[in-house]
Amino acid sequence: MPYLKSPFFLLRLSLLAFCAALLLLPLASHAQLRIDIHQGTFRPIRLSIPDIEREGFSLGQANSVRKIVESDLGTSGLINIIDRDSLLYSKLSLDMVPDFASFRIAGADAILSLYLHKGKGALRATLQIWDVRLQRPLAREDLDARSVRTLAHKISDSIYHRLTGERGYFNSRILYVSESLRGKRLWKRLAIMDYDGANHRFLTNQRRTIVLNPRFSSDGKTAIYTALTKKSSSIRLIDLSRGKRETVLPLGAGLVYAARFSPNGKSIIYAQSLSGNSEIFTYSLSSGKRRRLTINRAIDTSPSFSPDGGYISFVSDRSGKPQIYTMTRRGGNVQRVSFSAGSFSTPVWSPRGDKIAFTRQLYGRFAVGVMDIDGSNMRILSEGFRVEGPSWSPNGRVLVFFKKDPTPKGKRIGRSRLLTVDVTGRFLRGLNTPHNAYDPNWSYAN
Amino acid sequence: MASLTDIFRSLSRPIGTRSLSELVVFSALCHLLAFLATSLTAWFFPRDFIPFPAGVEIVTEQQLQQRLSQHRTRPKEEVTLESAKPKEDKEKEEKEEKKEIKESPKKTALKKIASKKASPKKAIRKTTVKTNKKSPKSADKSTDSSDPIEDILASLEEETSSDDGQSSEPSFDASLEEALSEESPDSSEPQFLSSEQILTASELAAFRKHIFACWSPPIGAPSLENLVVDLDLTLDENAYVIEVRVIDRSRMSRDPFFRSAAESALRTLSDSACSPLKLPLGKYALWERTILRFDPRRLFGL
Repeated sequence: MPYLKSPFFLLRLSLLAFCAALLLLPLASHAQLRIDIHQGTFRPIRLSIPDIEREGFSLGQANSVRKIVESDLGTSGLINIIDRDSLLYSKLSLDMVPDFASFRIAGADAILSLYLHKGKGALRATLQIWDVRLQRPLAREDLDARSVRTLAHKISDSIYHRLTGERGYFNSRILYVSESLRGKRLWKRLAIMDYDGANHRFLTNQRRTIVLNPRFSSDGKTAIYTALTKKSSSIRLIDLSRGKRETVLPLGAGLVYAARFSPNGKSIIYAQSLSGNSEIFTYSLSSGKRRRLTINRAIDTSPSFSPDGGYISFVSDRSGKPQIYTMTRRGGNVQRVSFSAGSFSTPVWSPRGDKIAFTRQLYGRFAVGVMDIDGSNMRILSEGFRVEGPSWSPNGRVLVFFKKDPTPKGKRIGRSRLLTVDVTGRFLRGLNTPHNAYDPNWSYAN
Repeated sequence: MASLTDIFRSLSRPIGTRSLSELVVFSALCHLLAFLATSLTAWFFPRDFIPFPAGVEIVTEQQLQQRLSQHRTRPKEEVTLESAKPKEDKEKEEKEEKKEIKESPKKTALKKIASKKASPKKAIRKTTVKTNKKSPKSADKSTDSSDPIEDILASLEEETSSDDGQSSEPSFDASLEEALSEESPDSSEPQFLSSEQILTASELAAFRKHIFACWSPPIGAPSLENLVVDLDLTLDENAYVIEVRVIDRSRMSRDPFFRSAAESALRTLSDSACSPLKLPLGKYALWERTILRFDPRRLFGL
């Protein structure tokens, strides 16, 4: 073969060999020892908050800020606040480099240096976070708010974000159904409060209307809920920013319920029962058009959008028992995702998009849990006589749900309260509400 | 579709004249070759193989015998033995030491081995093994009275010629290699690592157990598979961290979850409970530069 004798061929062949040798060179070089660490001991980050500098803030306001920040971060489970009495130096100004050794002795991993001041009609805070072990500043941020509580929650959000990498969820609100007795009648009202139970107020007060399934829009400015009367059911929209202005959505005849907003807030998805068969529909808030997504003899209900709006999770008993399914936003590619024993209900897609929270009923007991979107890695987070109605925190790390105790003898209703649990199931805590609480929904405060 | 012959033929033509399909197939062929070469290399060499450690010389048995015979023909003063030193010979000893410094590293190495082998306790034991019936006292006498070098060399010969290989003492070959590697750092012949030059399973387990207590992994964070942090450590001889570097540092600025995971790993190393690291100090060369991989995936069963 003449081309084999060509000088170009030999030259290029040697070039190829050189390249191959270069490729293999790293393999022949000195191997560096590598050790894998795949176990650890979880320990919350210990945060130290020395005295707060203030200008235009009263001592009471500064103490309120401290108390709220400590409560927010302390209840998150990921951050512990170090007792101020254990600090050698309790004062730390914003531009001062801390004496890391003394904070280390106190057991601190991080230090918060905080300066509260007033400016241009708003309350302001400048914060600086230091890493004690790495001995360097981690973040410096300026925040402002109209109220002390909001400012404190924003400070907590900022610290939480910087130390865990996750967006904070402290400046947020919970919408829920409050239940109380008014004479002999049950009185169900829509209520809203800060995530920690503060600023509680009622949004509805109709005596003969039962309210169900309240849901925030993604921006938290509006909400929808189901109103049941003796004669009909309707889905109502409340404009929270303008103060309880209600609109009844024209969704036609039949029982309508389980409504949620789409992620962009332009439409809602809901279940409608026609002649005893429940199907899933969408309704455009701008054009008023309805669209039927499921056509099935089985009961299809509890729809919830994925955070990108591309998919919908819902419950259907088409396999014989209520199980969780997913489909595209136009109703195609229906897939069953839960295959475990028991009946599943109230699937809710996580804001992160990686998990679906659900309620499971098995052998007469209820449980709230999470699973991956393909149904794998199912994990029960809380179990009880009746635990139900999970809703994600806006950052997708914590779930809020309600837990109802059995009705005691001689009483008309059993106690029902709101609980939060994080996705690991480690940190469970209760929320204070004035009356029984059901069906919570969580959103950032606007 | 270009055939293989066409591809080889195209090597002799300028790049501009090749067709696109030839270039694509040629590129694929190059990648395939590179992949095969990589796979073969990875399969052939053991995981902890270090190809060219400096200062190690291979000595065959024949070379060893030659060196031993050369050694035997040398004057007795060349090798000194601590236990057999008469007190009055101190001046002579100093002169010998000066001589030794001038000698070649290999000779010095041999002396070192001889001095190792001829430590009083070992010499006594060897004699006892050789003459089983001798009493300890007579053995002491024999070591004191006879020429220790001759005894040692005899015992060494016996050891090297014996085939049982079950002695609990380190073999002469190993000692020689060890000494030569210490004394002749310029030797460039390749040598595989002995088992003593890798971290044993128990050493690794002890190290990990030590670190586990100090590492607080990122719990509840999304996509744990993306939160594996590699740290490049430089350690001093006492296993204190001199320098530490996050290998994928650029990701810290764009991924807050990764940044938190990396900072958590860095805090682990600065934890006083985990400093210094629990590593075998005798194997410093092995862990002077180490990559620590903090991997939370198995922790949460992913």
